[in-house]
Amino acid sequence: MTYEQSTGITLALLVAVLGVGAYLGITAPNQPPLYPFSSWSLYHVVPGDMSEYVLLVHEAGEKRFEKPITLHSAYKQGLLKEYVSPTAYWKGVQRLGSGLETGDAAVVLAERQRIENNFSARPVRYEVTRVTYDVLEYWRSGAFRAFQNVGELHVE
Amino acid sequence: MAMFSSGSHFVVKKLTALLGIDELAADDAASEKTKLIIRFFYFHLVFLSFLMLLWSASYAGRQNFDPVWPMFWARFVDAATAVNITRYFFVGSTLFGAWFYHRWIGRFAAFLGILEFHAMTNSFGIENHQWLPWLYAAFLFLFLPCIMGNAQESREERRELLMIFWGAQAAFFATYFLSGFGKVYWSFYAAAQGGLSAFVPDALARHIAAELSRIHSVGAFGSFFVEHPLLGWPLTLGVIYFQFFALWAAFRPSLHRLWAFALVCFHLGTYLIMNIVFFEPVVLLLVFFADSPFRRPKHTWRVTLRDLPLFGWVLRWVLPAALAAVRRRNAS
Repeated sequence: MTYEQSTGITLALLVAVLGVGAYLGITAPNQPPLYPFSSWSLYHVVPGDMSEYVLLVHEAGEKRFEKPITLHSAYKQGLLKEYVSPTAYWKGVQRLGSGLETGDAAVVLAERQRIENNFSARPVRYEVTRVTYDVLEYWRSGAFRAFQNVGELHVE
Repeated sequence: MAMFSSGSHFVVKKLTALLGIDELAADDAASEKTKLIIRFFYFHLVFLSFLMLLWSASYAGRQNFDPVWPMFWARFVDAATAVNITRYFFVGSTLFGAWFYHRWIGRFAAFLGILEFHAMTNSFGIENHQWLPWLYAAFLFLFLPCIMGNAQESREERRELLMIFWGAQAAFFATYFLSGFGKVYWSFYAAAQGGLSAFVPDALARHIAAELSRIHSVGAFGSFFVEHPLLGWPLTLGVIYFQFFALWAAFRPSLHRLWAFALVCFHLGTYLIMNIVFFEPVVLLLVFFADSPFRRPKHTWRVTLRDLPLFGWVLRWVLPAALAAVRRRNAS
């Protein structure tokens, strides 16, 4: 191999890493990566007024909750088989909420299976709610500005 | 075709001059240092594969296995078997690579081991990109000249060695650049839409608060920076600066050490403030850049300052012009 060829291979990899990464970063920063490339878009959006979905569990197995609990609390109470990554679950809940609102049955089915299969007991009854809040206000008060229920789901 | 050829010749010539490769290849000091770093790369991979053998055991019990393309063979076995094959193959292949790093087959085994292991960790619907710089380096090292075990190399072989190694360095810094680029690009987009950019004073406080509401986790100093948002502002601007200009630094050996330590501090900071465990790149930052083979005695702190993006430009062009203007005015 010549020096020119070594330089060519080096620059080709660099262009691929930068080109694919920048393309993914601009077009689809939150989408799955094109392995082995990544957008490396981490914390690229500063949270302000947030509108996102939360999953609230009303019933799981023999446990019923007067005040519904989040998936994280469900994990803390030993109701989930595994809790691999909080970020992954957060993304899953966002996809489910969006699917419910837009009526995307395929997305709803896939995310429901993913979430419901992870509960260690049946039945499971939960709701998906869109909440609006400012992150700093929420930090201080622990309260959301607005709620809107987008779906109530149940599995035996 | 001739135009492309002259264009590529120009790029090679310019890059060679910028990195000082001809000067460095004149003797064997830089190439010996590079070979030492590459040897360490393969030895340390064995250590990492041992650690991963311990930490990756839980993957065998995970759900939602959806293999990415390097794990095409995993469709023929169950998920737990595929995970365990990959974990043990990682150890075996890196051991082979550590023994035979001076041969192509040894480096190929190590590359395959890290590719398969990393692909496995990306096959559960969660992006794991901590290993990408290791993967890119292992890929480029497949093209090293056959001098890893040989003290008698030619000047041309030293040039090839240095160029391939720089490629691994640049691909690594490119990942930080992409992260900085995303922040800058989306900041302009958000500002145009009336949203919040990454440059606002309470950006860090907002990220920490959002982490708590979403994933219920913040670092030891997280609350402090939410309560004192202005103190986090210089940290945010510093992170954007070092990330966005990381690619610039890759082309300037005088900046390699400064960027390495700044980015190591960034990883420490994100752990202490936001509880983000992103430690795999730390070793590679120090090994590749803290004593970079491209750094020469002429790269004094003055040169480092002059080469700094933004600040260096002020020192190099704005300050002398301002001083000259003052002198002219005093003279007249």
